[in-house]
Amino acid sequence: MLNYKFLLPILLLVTGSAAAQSSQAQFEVLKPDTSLNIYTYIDDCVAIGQRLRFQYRIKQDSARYAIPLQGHAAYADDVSIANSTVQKCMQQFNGDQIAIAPDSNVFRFKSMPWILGYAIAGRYDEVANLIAQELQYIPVDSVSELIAGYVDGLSKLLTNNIRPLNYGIIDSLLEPVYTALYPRERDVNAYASYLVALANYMNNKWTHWDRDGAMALASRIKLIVDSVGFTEEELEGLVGHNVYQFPEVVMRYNEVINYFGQLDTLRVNGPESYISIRQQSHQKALGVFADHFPLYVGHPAEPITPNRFIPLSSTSQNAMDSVIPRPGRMSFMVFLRDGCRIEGQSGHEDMRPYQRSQCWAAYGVLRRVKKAFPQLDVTVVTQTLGVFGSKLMIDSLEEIKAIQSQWHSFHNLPVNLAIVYTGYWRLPPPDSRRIDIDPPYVDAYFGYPMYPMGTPGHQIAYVISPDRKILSKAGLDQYAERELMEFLEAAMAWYDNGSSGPVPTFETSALDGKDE
Amino acid sequence: MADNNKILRQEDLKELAGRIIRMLDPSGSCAISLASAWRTGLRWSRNNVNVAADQRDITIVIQLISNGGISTVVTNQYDTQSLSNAVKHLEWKSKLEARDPSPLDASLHLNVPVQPPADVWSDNTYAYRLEDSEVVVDQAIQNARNAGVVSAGYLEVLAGSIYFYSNSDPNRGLISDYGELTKAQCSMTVRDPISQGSGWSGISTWDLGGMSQESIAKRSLEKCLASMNPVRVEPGRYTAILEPQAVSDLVTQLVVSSFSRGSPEVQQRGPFFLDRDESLGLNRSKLGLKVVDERISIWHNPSDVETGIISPRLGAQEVTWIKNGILNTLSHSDKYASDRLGETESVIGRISYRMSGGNSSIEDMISSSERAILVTRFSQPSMVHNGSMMSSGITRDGLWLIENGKITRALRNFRTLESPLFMLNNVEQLGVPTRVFHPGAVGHRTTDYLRFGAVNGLTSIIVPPIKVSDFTFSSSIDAV
Repeated sequence: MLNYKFLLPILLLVTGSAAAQSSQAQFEVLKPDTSLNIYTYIDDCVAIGQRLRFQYRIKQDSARYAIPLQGHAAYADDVSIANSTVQKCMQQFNGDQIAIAPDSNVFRFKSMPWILGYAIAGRYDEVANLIAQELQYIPVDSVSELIAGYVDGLSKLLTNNIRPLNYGIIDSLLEPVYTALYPRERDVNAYASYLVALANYMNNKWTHWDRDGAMALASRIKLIVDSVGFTEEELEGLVGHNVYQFPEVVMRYNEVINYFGQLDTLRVNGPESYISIRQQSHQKALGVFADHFPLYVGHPAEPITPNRFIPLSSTSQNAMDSVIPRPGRMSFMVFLRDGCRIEGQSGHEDMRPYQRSQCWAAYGVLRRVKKAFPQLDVTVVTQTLGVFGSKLMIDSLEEIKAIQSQWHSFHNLPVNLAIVYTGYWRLPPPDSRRIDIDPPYVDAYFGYPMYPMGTPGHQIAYVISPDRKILSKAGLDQYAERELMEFLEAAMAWYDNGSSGPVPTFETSALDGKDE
Repeated sequence: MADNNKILRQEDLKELAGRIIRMLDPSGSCAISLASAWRTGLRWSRNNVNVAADQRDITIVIQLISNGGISTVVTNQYDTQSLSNAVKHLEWKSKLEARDPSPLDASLHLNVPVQPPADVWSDNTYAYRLEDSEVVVDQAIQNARNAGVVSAGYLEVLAGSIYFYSNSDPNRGLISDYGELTKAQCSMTVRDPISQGSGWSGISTWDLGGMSQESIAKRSLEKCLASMNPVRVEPGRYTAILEPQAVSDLVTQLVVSSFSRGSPEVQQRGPFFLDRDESLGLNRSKLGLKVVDERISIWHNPSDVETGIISPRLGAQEVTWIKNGILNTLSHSDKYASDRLGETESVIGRISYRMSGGNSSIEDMISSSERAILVTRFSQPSMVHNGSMMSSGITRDGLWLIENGKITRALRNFRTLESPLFMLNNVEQLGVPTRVFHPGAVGHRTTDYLRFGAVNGLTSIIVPPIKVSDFTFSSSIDAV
């Protein structure tokens, strides 16, 4: 049930001309920026328009690729107008028929058929205008409802983002909108996904309530009271059972209850309150494990000798041994545990949606980090798993080739690749399961318990100084991105100044001076 | 007059596949699946025959692999013009299905046969004519009338053939398989609504020669007459002698729902979930542990024509689920095999199974019982607890009390609450395994039954009668 009574006004800065300018990049083949998850639905639609425009065909019986047109048409004011508009656009492409799939998404745009039609016709300025109009009517509570229905997969916002052949037009179209909506929409999205992630985190073996509970509770209060405007009672029934029950579970822990009582500023609204909450909850939680937070800052980064190092500039697979992080340059190293290698490949349907969303969100962050700091040495460290997609990989070289193909060719990610072989042993028969032995980098880099930015996941990023000292660490997700960017800005400025002056830290960049 | 064209046989299907292949792009990858089926049968109720049917159909499935996508067209028309239209439609669809280039070829995800399909064929069954059953059914109905009771039942005979062709597997080249089967099944219930008696008998088999319609009719009538004027006894735990059909009703639940690695090792549920191993970070199943009486083995062997299935798409593996009481194998998918086991082969779950037995006859079991209950079969047993497989059902079509080694009286039916695992851990005596009635899930089209129903429909279950202790009859009920 949607609740519009707390609908807040949104200021939009998008103009038709700006959108038209941005649409000039339409033929430049870029990969999708999936951190803009809230617009995924539009992305799908525009992407399909793009596919038609470039003479690609749409998979007929898959809701993932097909246009969820029925839902939009049913939601439109005049179904016949919507359909005829689409059909007219279709006729421009030799009468090709378009597949229609049932739509289960709650998040609907009234003018989606027209958006689609304009996208097919290549009139991207109109597409931008329609999107801008639609965004004025996104009720915040619809975001909550989406999340409520898909607790297990982070949220529908985060998971419906398979976008083959999705060109830069989408990002360039939406970026101004995204920027304009940032203070509210993006935060809400981040809070919501964070909340759901934590709800999923409940039964995870890495759960540490004493450490994460305060943050979770803080996020929930923030989401409810400040951003969304709901009271707790109104949230019940809208939000999934796990999410709603989550704080109650948390509150069983005396430490959290004690610290929660001291988090007074959680109830204070403000543009930077999210950072304040994070810092407070961190500090409060750190009261229990005071020694953990500073453990890694300033410590030497463990050198890794990957079995294969594939630099970004390489166009083919090279067996080039190299010790990373490479000295003498500022490094941004992303470590993957269990890989990020299934989406986009055959068999990816088996992957759990939240795993896919984690990877895709990270790709967007990585792409923007490299774009903002081209001199930064961005390296992804991953491991062989003996399987790629659903294909058994007996030959590690074949798997390395597939990994390289995925990162460099399929996703076009501007990163170096360092690949480490994974050993394994087997349980005795008849069980016979293969038990992977974590490569050394997992122990070295996944061991630190605290994340100043982002949430724990199967991917983790370290900022490492030219002399191989750890400067900070982050989970690669969209709600850590702002802080990460600010930190990297400070770190690169320090690097550009010859590494003189105080070494930047998390406290001195993103949070400095922004606390209450 | 003999009718020898009920289905398309091997040469016919090969010729048909050849016609289709010639219409397709010779450079493309394709898979063709052809199924031809014939089904005939009689149904009767309240002592009157009301259905006599003869159905024949063919299903043609053509798959084209193009640009990483798989497109499919299905038809049952095989004249040249219809096939041409189907192929044109397929080629049009293949353009829609085109996907992004992928490092992995879509053909890897097309199911192709692993081994040649098993044949389960009986000329005797294929030669069956409805007229052959006229006398038997008429006599069964007349006998019921004479006894003052009503009978209902059905007799079904079918035959089918499957041909599979694929040139899409780069590792195995051209694949061409043919298999054919026959099946016959008969079920008959005789009831006396006044005296509240009910009897039943039935069997599923591939060879009509092994199915005596006369004995089915005779046994169901005898059971009905013997079950009249039932009395109540207190519910509780009794020693139970379960006829093979009753054993099948409970054990099939175990085979169908529990022999899967996903339940214990991924979902932490089901009767075979052992515990969470925190040190390894994974869930352990009871594989390798004793789960039932050591006299019990449950297996499926595709070369055993009595339980063999025909299904080129499913492959054919021998699998032993339980061996001498020890959980030996659980099914798993291709994905599980590659991810967790480092293997390529899946283990496919099957309903068809054979269970080990002993030498005791039901008469031996009765004569050795001081106080026990003889059960014909169960109605609608449904699982009420996944972890223990506790199932609730009701007895039906014949329930008798045994006292001092003899059947003494007919009983009113009970609701039962029992787990097949508990039951198989309380075994006292085992009889000779025999084939039971298992109609399976029959679709509205016989060819679908052939193509997709191999697991659910074309199954044979061979189980022994069992004498078990402490079987729970939880409450007395009025249902007959």
